[in-house]
Amino acid sequence: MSRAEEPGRPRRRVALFSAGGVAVLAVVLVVVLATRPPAVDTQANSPLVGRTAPPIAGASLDGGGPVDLAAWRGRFVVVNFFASWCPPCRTEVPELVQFTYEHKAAADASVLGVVFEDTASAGAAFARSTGATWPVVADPAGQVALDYGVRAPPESFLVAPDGRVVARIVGGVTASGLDQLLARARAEGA
Amino acid sequence: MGAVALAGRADRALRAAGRSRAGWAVLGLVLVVALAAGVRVGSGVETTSQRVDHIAAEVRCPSCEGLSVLESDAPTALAVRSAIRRMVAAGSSDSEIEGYLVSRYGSGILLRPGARGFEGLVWILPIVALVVVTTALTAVFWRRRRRASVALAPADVERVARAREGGGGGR
Repeated sequence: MSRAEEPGRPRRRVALFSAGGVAVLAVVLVVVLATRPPAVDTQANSPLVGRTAPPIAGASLDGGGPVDLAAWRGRFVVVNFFASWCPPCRTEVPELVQFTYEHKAAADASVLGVVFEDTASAGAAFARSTGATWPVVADPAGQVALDYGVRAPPESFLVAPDGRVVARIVGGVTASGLDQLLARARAEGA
Repeated sequence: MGAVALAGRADRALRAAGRSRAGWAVLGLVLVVALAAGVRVGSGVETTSQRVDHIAAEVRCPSCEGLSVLESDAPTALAVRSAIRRMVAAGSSDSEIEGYLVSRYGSGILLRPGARGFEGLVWILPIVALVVVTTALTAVFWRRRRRASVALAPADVERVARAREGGGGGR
């Protein structure tokens, strides 16, 4: 019997090709996953991008008086949805503190916090304990979250000086990431 | 094999084929009736509350996996249900309400995939798959039946005929 007629040969070839195919798929999967961007500063699609930001108005939970997003036209605003039970929300606070500090002198960007699926008191306590120095408003009926299409905290929206939403960020933010978004929005004429 | 035995085999084969066709016909009828019944269910006038529930059942809970806003008690689900109730009371149509939610959350907020674009494939592919599978099965069964049919030689056909007339036939 010649080599070509050996009965097990076609089966071995099929097994070899199958194993090779699986190995190639595994390598491709690893490469794709390893090159994905990290979970912070992950921009996500939103139907709101390019449209006027929905209104946000209410009493600041730190006793600082009424807050109205519309009154903040003329500067960039990071609308940050957070909750006291949300660990990534806690992680991103130092980044937001740094961002606020870096833009304090120029007064060209601010942060506005919105409590998401949490009580006002828990949200206020969270802001106090983490050193959040920006105004925070409650959203007891979830209407603001609905208006912005928020699914889970932390989620942030960058609002341009003209009141348009220019980016939606899912997951924690970083100061450098926000600065990059700001620079890009400015370059695009925001 | 004797002519009578051959005739008997041919008879049995024909009767089995007839039963198989009847069985498939009954199955097809049951499927059509079930589909028609499923389409008819849900028709009729709804109360406001029923309409709110019906719409809420089609909207995904924004902050929880795999639940509709009708099923979930999460604050975001309650907010969406409340918005649906308000809009129904204000006279908005189902499509206007869904359009509002899609304008906030994107098309993924709806549990039912859209009928256009890439999402529309969800509706088309099962029908296409059903047609392909039915055609393939029909072709396979038809080919098998052709292969299995007994081909009688002319001499055997004559013997069968004589056997039926005479009530006997030799081997």
